[in-house]
Amino acid sequence: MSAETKSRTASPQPVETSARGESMPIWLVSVFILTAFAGMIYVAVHGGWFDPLVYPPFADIQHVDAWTRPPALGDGIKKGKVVFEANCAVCHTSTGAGSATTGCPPLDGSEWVLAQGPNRIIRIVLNGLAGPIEVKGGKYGGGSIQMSAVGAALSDQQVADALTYVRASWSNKGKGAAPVTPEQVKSIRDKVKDKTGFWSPEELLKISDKD
Amino acid sequence: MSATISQSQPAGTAPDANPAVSPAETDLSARVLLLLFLSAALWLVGGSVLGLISSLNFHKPTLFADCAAFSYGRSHPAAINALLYGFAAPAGLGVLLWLAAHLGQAKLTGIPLVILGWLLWNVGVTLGVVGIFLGDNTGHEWLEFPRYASAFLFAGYLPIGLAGLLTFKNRQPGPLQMAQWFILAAFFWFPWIFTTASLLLVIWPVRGVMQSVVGWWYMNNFGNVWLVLMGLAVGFAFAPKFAKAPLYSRDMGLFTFWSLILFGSWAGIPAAAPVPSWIPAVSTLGAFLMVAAILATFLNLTKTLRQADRHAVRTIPELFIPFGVLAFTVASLMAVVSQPIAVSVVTNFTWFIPAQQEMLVYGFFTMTMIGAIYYIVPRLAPVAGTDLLLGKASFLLCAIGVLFYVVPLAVGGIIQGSSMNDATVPFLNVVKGSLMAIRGSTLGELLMILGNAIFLLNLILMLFRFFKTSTTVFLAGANKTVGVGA
Amino acid sequence: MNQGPLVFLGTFFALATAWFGFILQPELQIGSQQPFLIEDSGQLYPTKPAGLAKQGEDVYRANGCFYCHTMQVRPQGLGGDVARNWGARSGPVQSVSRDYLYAEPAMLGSQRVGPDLTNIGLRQTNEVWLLQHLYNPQSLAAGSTMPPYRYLFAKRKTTPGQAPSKDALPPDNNLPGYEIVPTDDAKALVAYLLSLRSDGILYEAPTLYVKPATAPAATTTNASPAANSPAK
Repeated sequence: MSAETKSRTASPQPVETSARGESMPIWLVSVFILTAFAGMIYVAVHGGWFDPLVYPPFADIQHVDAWTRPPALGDGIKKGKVVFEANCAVCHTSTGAGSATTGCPPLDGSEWVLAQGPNRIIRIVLNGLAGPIEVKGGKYGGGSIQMSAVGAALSDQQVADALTYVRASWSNKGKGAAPVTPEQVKSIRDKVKDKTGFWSPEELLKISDKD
Repeated sequence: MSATISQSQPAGTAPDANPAVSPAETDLSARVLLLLFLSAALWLVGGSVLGLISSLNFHKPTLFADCAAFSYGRSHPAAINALLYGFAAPAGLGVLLWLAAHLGQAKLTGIPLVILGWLLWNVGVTLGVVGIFLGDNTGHEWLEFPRYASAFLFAGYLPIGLAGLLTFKNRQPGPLQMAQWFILAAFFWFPWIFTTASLLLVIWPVRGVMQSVVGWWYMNNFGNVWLVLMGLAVGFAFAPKFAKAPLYSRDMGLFTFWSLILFGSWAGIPAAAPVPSWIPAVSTLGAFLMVAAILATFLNLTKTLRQADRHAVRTIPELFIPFGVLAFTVASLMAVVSQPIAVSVVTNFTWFIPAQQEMLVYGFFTMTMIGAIYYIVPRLAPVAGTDLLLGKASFLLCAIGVLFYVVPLAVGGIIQGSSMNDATVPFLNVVKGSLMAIRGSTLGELLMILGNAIFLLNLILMLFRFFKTSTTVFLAGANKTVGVGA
Repeated sequence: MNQGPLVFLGTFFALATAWFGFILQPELQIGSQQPFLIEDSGQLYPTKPAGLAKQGEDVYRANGCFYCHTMQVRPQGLGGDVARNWGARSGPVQSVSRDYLYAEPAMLGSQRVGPDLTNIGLRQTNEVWLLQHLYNPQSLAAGSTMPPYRYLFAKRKTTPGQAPSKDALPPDNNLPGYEIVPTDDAKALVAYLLSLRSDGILYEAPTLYVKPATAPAATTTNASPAANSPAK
């Protein structure tokens, strides 16, 4: 403070460098609050709830889903696609091709996916998997590359839909893999509720296809 | 250079080692800024002439059919970039450096840095404009300069920005004045957005439409935030100067500052763009949140200016800068209004968008900076005086010119948008319908070129008189400044 | 009190917020999108432009075509884009981010001085028409404001009786004694224009022809597709 006073005397601080303490008028504060409110309503109406697949004019993903074609897809498959795109496609890719570079095995044409019963793949989704795992004759994962327990946070219905979609898409279509039901997911979720850690392929192979 | 830096560091820790200097001493140390102002004015005239050349394509499409460089797709971006990077950035930075020194009662620190930066920057702009003419346009609006030019811009900004921070650091202690908030933020804003956008668009381009997202983000943060930070720094510093009275409200100034950097930086992504809905929606929220700040700025600055003595004769800067305040309000409100989808559906893709940009970049920023330069140059080169008649002429031409440019285009854009949305109107008729507005706006362009040219002439005359009468004084001053810095 | 650090931190925070929300978050969502497998044909959409079309993209960029032509179709009900038949994804559909996966750079454009070109390759499949339009737009669209791109063509003197060059423009367009031959740039540009089509069926951009059997309850909001449905 003393330094400031000194500098004032050295070269007088002109009045124009100071500021008055007028506060913001109340109407302007109201304008701010109103515009903030209007903006939030705008985001709620036009924001698509932050879903990467919602574009105008759709309000949310349910609308996109209801309008999307081809309608030949079953209801569960359509919903499953949404779950898949949001949770699985980052690694396994939207085409189910996986990626050798990220160590993520393909789902398209995978013998694990197309097995007679879905028991093993439900377990993988619920608890995750630590590789290496052999798929279509290739080795994937191992070391630090693991699949996390994606399904732990999803509902039985969502897990069932996603797996149904995977088993009925790409070249998996028409291979006769039956849809997965939420009941199947629920019964396995109950069985494995005490399991800690990831599955290993060896552990899974001990479980019957039909369990 | 290193001596300058090492000297300034102990100065920051021990304020008493850094006594306040008189405005005259500040001006003497800041003469190097004349370089920035002169090159900026040259680019301003050059850029606006290029803009006129590109507009001629709308009067006679066949005019440049055999000339690749002057075709609209090359002369138009060359003009825009010459104005943004040749004029706006150096003029703004020059004024900011002067203000940083002046408000902090310190000398301009790092004169060699400023000269180095000025050289590199102008090499970059020249390379960039030539590159656009040769077809090296990057394809991203407002970032069209090819990477060899961007590298020079970046290298040129760093020393100038450093000089700005060093000067700022040498300020007298005490609470910051309102303008100093804007100055400091502006020095940091540009390097961040420029490197982000250059890296993600030119060096390691992101995929597909993400490029457009980064591009919109950059355009908004360059035009609606960085230029506004620099322009409002001038507004907040000069409005009290003109009125010879304190700023009306510090609270409202702070509100403007925080709203601008926190919310203004979100705006600018057009509704119905091919990106997930939430991106333009959140952008619109940001634009809405700016409304109160825009009004607060207008209120704050006009109330400050009203404290002035009404009978005093207005100087040239007192014409330019208040015009800039008004244009800022209009341009920013135009941007906010055209953001939500209900309006954007009409205004997007039409001439309304360039009209808004011109109002912001020319009506607000350029006018403000010309005003500030008119104020500063006679102080840096004290023998010279502004030629009052030339100054008034340049103000009238620029002000009328920008209105003649913006109003027809804004109105024409709304008409164009409405008829474009009516699919029963053939597209060719939509185009023909907007021709009148475009051709009308060329008159505004002509007036602005004249105004810019008179500004340049005035600047050259001032410098000529100064050099003629006091070459020896200038050299002595420069020697003395360098001696103190080293 | 020294407020310098406060201003610095505030600026840093504000920039970080804007960067996080508008660069990082969109990049995480759409930055690693994959092409979509079209089930009926087994082909991936979008396809990578190759060869001449890829070179044409550079010509399009270098000559700043995107200052007058957009490449984004707005959805049904928002503007006249779909009604003008600019969207053509086996139905009237808007552009979405996945359409631009291979655009280098993505030139969406901001001005419609000329028509939208998202699907020009579907609307105009005649290479000669496109070349002629580039050379002299007014000869095909009277009153067009598009500048002629004569510098993309070579004007060659011909001797009478000599057969015209293979790719010369139709002679009625020429001065007598000369022929107009497109340069490599013109040919590449036209190849690029012909490759422009967004006709893959994407989940996120459903064709609005068919009203769903079980529309969700919220269909009555403003943004609902039902309000914009062309189904009559």
